[in-house]
Amino acid sequence: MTWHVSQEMMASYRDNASSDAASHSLELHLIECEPCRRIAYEAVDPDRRDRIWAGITERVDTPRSRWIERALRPFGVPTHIARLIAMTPSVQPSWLVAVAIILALAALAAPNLGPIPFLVVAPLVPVVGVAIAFGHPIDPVHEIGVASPTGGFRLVLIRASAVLMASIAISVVPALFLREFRWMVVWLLPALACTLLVLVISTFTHLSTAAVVVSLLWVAGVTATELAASTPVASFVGLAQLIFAGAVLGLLTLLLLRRTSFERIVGR
Amino acid sequence: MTTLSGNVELVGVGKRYGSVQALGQINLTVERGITGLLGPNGAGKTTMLRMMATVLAPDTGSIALLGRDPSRAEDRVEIRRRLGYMPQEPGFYRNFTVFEFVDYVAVLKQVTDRKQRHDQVREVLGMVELTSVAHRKIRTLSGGLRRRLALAQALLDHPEMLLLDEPTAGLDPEQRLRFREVVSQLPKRPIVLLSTHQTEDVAALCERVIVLVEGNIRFDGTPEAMSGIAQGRVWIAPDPGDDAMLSWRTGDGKYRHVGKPPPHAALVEPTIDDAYLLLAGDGVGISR
Amino acid sequence: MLIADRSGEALRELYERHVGWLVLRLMRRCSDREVVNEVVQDTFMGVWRNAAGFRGEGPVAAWIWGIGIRRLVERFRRRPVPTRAWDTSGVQSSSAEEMVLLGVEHGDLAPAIDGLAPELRAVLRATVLDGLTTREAAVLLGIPQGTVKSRMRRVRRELREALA
Repeated sequence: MTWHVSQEMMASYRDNASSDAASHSLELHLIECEPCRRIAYEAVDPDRRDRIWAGITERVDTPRSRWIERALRPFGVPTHIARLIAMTPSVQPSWLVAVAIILALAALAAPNLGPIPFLVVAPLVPVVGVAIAFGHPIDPVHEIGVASPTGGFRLVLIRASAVLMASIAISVVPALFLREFRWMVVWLLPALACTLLVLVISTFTHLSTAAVVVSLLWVAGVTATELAASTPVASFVGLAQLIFAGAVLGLLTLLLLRRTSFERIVGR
Repeated sequence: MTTLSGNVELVGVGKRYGSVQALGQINLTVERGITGLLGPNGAGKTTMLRMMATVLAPDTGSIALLGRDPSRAEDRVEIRRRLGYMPQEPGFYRNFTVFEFVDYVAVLKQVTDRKQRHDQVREVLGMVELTSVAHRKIRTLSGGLRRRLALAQALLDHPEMLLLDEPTAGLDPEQRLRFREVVSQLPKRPIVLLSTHQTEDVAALCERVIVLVEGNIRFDGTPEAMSGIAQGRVWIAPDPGDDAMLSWRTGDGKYRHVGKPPPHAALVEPTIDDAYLLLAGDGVGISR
Repeated sequence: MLIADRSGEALRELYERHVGWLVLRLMRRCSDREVVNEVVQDTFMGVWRNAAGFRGEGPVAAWIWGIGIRRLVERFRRRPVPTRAWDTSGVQSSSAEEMVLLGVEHGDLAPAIDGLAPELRAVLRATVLDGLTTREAAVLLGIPQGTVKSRMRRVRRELREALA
């Protein structure tokens, strides 16, 4: 490189006072020459440079908006709550996909095995989801979360609701394979009841323990009812639904009574 | 957000886990400034800090934080808004970037305005010098950097009460120096409670020291007063002695004794270390 | 390149080195200041996100320009923007200084280029200098692709005649 751009050349380039060919030359030169690029740098207004950089910083820093956040916004959910929900581990695509596959398998087995496999698994989805979503020791940020203003019961409610809705949403599609309409809905109340039950039990012991307890109780309960009853699928129809409804109301009341225990961490 | 007046007051506070009395009948008032909480493992430091962080309730006694009562729900939220807490074992979502994680905690702290929140995140990352790794995933960070991250989230939103549980664990000396700089230059002079078993941190930073051993306060005063406890009881001798309460070989080949002096011993000025050993007794190992 | 390990400082350094010429060069293709500002931001975001994709073929500035000019084309595709005509009438003849540097870069071609009609120079700039495809050049200049091709044919013919 035997020549460089002078201040005057740069000025006339910037002010559109140089010919095409000259501009071409200059532009090609700048691709290769660092010192001349510095001259170009000086030729741009500093405020403009700073303003552009501020915009870049903001965009670089902005944490990637997950699709969940964008999906929630039309529903009027404030962005910070949407972010909380999106950060919940069991509202992540990988978990949801795994669940969908399991439920699909259970649903597809319906013609042979009846709807029971699906109906037993579906209510447990939010239970496991809630356990994964938070609660020591699975949620590593548990302690900081409880010590925050959002922490405690409010955070639990936000996340549990999100998990419940996500679980129901993901269960609806495999449910369509069950053929009979009533099978597609009878698991909803049990799902709600189980979720509330795991939250209530979590006020007495670790969330993971609570999840295990609820799962075992549920499976045992359904098995026992099915074996003892005269009609098939008795644990889900007729009287059973009324019982579930009652359980939901009762557990909801219990949860509200026990809500202050979410304000503290469990044990040592 | 208005400033809450008031300090931290513990009256008759106790906590037991099963048969173990983690804290017994603690009466304590903590004012603005940096207070060190010194004690061996299992002394009850974390328990006390957790109670001040409102995540643990005492079995007996009452606590007032920033003039409010943490057993009442509305007060608890107000306290938590002005609280910065760095737990002993902070957890992270390992797939988050540094920036995302601090941003998440800021969301938990209810900093709803996005621009304000991002400015705050940048500010605390700058304070702990994590700006250059702001967009790295947490799982790629070393232990020392993660500790700084834990400190950064505690500094969000200029808390009035800052609780740090073993903040310098696993940090090398240079990082510890940086940490001291950050803590000593906090704006607004908050109430800072620093729980540690590193006496150097306490000596360098704290205006006041509380020594907690087996759930009880054994000392409460300035670092100088604490050294004074060991006055007249610390010696240097060429040989090891069996009569001393504690004795160990120092780097220059002599032996330092706390307690009864062996023959040919010379009296020396005590440090806060010596006093700590005296206060904590058998509960403390000599490892530094 | 340092950016691959997500260093904000490396991005800043790169920014300082390249924002100057990028702004000036884009301003000569689009007269709207705000649009150029946005496109510069888009360009550096592209650099930030695709840093790993730069394999060191050619100078960094060329790579950055590739990103930048395509962002500008994208912008034009979405919303037509007033472009600079680059019709510097009255600047047909180059200054003495420019003659020196033109002697180095373009040789005899320089006065021939300056002698072309403005719309031909625009097409030449877009395809040859900026490295755009016919379709991209069409978007940038706001003309149909066929026109781009026919103008390029005229450019080649006129330059051949001028040099003959």
